[in-house]
Amino acid sequence: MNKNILVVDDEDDILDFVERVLKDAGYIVFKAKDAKEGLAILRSEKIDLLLLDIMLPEIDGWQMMQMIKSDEELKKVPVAMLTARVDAYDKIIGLKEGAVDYICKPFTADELCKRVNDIFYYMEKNNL
Amino acid sequence: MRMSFQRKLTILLAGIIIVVFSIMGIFMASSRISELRNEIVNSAEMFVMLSSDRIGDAFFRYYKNAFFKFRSIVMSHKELNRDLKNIQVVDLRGRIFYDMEQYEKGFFDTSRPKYTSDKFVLANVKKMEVNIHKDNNVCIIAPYIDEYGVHNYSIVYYFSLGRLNQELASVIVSSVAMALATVGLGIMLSVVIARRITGHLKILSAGAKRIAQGDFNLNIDIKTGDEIEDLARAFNFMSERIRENIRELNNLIEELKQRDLQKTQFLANISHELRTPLTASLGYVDYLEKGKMGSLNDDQRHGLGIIRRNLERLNREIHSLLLISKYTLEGVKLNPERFDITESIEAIIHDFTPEINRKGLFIEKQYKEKKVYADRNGIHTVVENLISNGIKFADFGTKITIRTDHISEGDKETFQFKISNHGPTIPLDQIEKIFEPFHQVDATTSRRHGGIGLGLSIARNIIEAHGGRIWAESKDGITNFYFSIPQRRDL
Repeated sequence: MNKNILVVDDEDDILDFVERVLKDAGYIVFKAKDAKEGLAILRSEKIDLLLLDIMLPEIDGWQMMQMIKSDEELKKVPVAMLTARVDAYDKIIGLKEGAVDYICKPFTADELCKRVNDIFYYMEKNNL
Repeated sequence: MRMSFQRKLTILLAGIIIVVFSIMGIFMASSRISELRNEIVNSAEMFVMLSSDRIGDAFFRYYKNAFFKFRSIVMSHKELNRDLKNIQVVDLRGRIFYDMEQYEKGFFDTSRPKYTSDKFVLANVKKMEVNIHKDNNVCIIAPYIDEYGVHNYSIVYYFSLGRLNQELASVIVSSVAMALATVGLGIMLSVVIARRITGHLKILSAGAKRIAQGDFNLNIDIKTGDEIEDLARAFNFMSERIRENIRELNNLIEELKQRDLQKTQFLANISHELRTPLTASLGYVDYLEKGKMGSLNDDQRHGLGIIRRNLERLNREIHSLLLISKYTLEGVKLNPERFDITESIEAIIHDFTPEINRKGLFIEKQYKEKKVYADRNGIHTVVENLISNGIKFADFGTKITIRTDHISEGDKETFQFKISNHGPTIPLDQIEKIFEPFHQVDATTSRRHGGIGLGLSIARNIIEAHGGRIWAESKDGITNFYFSIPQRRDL
């Protein structure tokens, strides 16, 4: 069964690249340019993984994450953060807030695929 | 010996008073003495003039027949002058017929003729006028002319100047007493005055001390209406000005800090913004190179390789910028652990293999210590920057030596890393500055070697956060970079 992945990023080129790489790897990819659009898709589609950029217009990645985690319906969706910050500190906050992984920009196609595959492998292994 | 201004002033004033009174005393005494001497002499002369005839008459009339009447007349005259010591009646040959002093003491023997030994008397007894001789005593000789107009006898008077000594003594005593009283009073007065002055000076000096200690909230309240008040006012004005200047400086510093923070924040933001487009670019280049978007010919592959290498370089520089602005904004956060540094070194050398091969470099490794207790990511960055630096500046075909070592010095244990390369010598005046951000030895090297000169600055930030030291030596074409990190003994 193909997994559904939602990517939220305000950069079209990033969305385009991530979509391409993940589609080639066999995933179904949904794209959103901001938090509102992302939440709408989360509610309408069955999403297996959310790739969330931190720097978003209006509602940023942290806020959106909190909204997801406080929503009974949505809180089971695993979230992996995408960011250009280099900071280990951000990473710790992200993981504390409930992110399952943390992918630093710039990333290569191989890296992205491997991280996403790893997340699904880990979740299946632990029956999450 | 340190003497307070107050004591000095007191001693000076007392000295001045004593000197003034001594001079005054001497002057007063001398003028009083000469006045008194004149008075004594004048009254003596007067006395002689008034009495000589009467004493002479009495002698002439009563000496032989009624001596006691003569004596009583003489004695009654004696009472009239307190300086009078003696009266003699002497004939022209110097024979003394009557000597009051001797007689009254009972020594005068009339049976044997007695002559005067006073040379002055002998010399003047015959003269017809009054003669005065001043010595310790005043001697006056007055001729007596009897009723027949004959000068047979002279009356000799001796007056004592003893009163002068008494007077002198009393003048001295009174002027000394006055001087002492004045000095006492003067000392008291000068203490009071000095205390007033030095009291104010003490307040001023306390104020100056406060200023020296950096307390500029000074308001010295002295109302003397003189130079001291002016000085106090100048002090207050000065401290106010300093206060104002410091306030301005603090505002300026605050503003500069704010601007610096804004700059750093801007740098962080811009680095972040630069990184996002890089992600898409690098991602696609990588994807293209792997042939996932159609097969490529060699030319296309070569071109893509150049694009990728340059994007990677751009990414490294942006990473450095982000890192240095983060360190400036937040400081270096460490998560120390004990790890094998040679793993990091090997991985870094592996990453740089293409560049090492391109320049024909040989890497010599001397691992004398592998374990280090430090922040793994931080040390990785430092070693990466130092190796990258060494490769960048190494001459073609030379050797780069990397050494890790453990140094025990007294009770201090340190881990030391050293990398040496052959290349341009860093001038001595630049060797410290290379660790400052955005610094390269000269503008042309940055053109030649690329990079914006943040690597060493980042390395220094990390090493200093560990409490360690990073430094360089450069001489005769060999450059060594070192860093050392203190190690805990129990680890």
